[in-house]
Amino acid sequence: MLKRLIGWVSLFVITVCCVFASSLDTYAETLQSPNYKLDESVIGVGDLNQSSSASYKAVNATGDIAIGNSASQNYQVEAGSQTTHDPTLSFKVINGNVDFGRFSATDPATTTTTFSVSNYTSYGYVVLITGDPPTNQSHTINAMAATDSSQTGKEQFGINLVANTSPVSFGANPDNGQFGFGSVESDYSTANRFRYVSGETIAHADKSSGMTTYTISYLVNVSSITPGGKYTSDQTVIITGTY
Amino acid sequence: MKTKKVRFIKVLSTALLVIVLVLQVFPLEMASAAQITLRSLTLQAGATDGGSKPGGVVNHLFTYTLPSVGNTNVGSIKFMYCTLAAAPADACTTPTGLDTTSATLGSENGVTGFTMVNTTNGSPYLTKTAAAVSAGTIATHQLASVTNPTTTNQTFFVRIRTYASEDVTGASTDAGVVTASTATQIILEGIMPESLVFCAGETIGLTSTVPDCATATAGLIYFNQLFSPTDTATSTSQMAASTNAGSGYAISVNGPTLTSGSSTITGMAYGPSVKGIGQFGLNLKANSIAASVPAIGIEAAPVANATNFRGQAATNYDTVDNFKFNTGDIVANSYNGITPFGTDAQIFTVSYIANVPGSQPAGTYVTTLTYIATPTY
Repeated sequence: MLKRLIGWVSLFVITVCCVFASSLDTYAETLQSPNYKLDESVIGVGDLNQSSSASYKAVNATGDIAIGNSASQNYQVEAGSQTTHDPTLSFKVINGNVDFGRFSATDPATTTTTFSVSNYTSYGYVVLITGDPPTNQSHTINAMAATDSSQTGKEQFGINLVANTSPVSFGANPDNGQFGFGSVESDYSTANRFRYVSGETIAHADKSSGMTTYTISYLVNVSSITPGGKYTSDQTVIITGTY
Repeated sequence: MKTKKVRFIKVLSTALLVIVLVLQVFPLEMASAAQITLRSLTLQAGATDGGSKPGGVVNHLFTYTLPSVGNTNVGSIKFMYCTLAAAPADACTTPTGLDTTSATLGSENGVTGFTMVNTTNGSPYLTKTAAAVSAGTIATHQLASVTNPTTTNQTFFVRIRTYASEDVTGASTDAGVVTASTATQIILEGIMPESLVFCAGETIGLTSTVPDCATATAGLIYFNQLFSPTDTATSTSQMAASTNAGSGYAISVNGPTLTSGSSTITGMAYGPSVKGIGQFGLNLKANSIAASVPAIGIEAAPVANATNFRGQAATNYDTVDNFKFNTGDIVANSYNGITPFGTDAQIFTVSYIANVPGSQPAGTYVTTLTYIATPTY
């Protein structure tokens, strides 16, 4: 009788172990090598608890001692229990109206604008800029198709996304804050050198990235015969994330 | 009876154990849709609007890879525009202002042969005769003429779903969500001040090789000799002009012919200088001794080119040794070469001739000529 009881207990233990082993496999899938990956896994006491109905949604978490993203060349971790598989994208042009003031054949005109991007659970993003150079009636200021420095008296329209010291000090390098991984394309990342080709990629992130604030530095030079009048241009910045 | 019951439990337990062990080796596949991978939505510029312009009519380019889980039939693909990536009970709120009812299918690659069904705003779909699609196929589909959501800096989501059916009915086969955002347009603005520098005088000098109106001398000009039926009297004046007017400038001469009391010297119709008849005329050329001795006049300096010097003598005032005077006529302009016709400063030398017949009444003949430069911006 005792022997039989031991047998049944053993069978029960084996079954329970198998069932638990089966459920634990789900977590093990995302802990990978050789480059290492933690995806939506929980380390610590906290966990995500989502409750919802048609009228409300609650997301609770406990125990987070740090949140955000950490990465090196080969791995990246979104820390915190409130993470999600859904893609998120946040994009904002912070000041959209940019005024050069008066153009002059003897003084370069400069100005800046800023935009910010964050993109989560993605393979990164690219930032494109499109639009014509400043135009007055049928005359368009020459876009700098080749990266070049400012040349007073020669028609030029160009941009970069870094801090400059020439022709004047203006612009700023990208601000990645604590968790951003954005960077500027090489054609637009050299101080005091400018370029503008509509549709070109001007910045990117190779991985999921927290907030990066970019500053676009605009340069306009005109010649003595650049037709007088009001010059305007609508520029469009486009973010494309890959998920 | 008791033995039978024990045996039944024993068999049942053993079967359960075997099932669990088998499931460890051959786990059941989940019935849920597979994840579409490497998916993105690029907002492309439309005919006039930038790709991310709020309310802009633009093109939406979807790029994605169908899952590598086998050759699945694809008969339709739905693009469901929502304010959230996912929501309870798969609810979807269409972003404000979004309009897909005028959308058309633009380019397509990878999985082709579709036609567009755009009757339901926010949920257009592509349909074709269902066919197998190879695992890992990279597909691109461009939805043209989509009106973006009108809210500025708004993130919106598009749930992409493939179906074996041709009308997006039934359970979806594969699914994935992409996101994009409208953005404030960056409006650049700058003013190029309109400019015109124009002066006239007997002479105009240069400063650092550039014509300088500050050096213009007085405009009282005397002919080089007394009027005579046997010789041609001559004189010159100068004027300088520059402008950044896109349509350039025109300079006209305005005033009466040479007059002394009630006597005048006839203003010339276009032609050469002829001694012994009444002629008052001018041109803007470097003339030869065929017109007068000594020869008078200088070509516009610097000479016109196709870049930054566009000023030139106008018709009837642009031929060596031929002259004309008609008040109001355009004597110079900058309509040289391709637009724009703005020009840097040049100096024009105006050559005057006066011929008189033997009967010309004696007296002091005078005229006041006004040159007017009119730029058109």
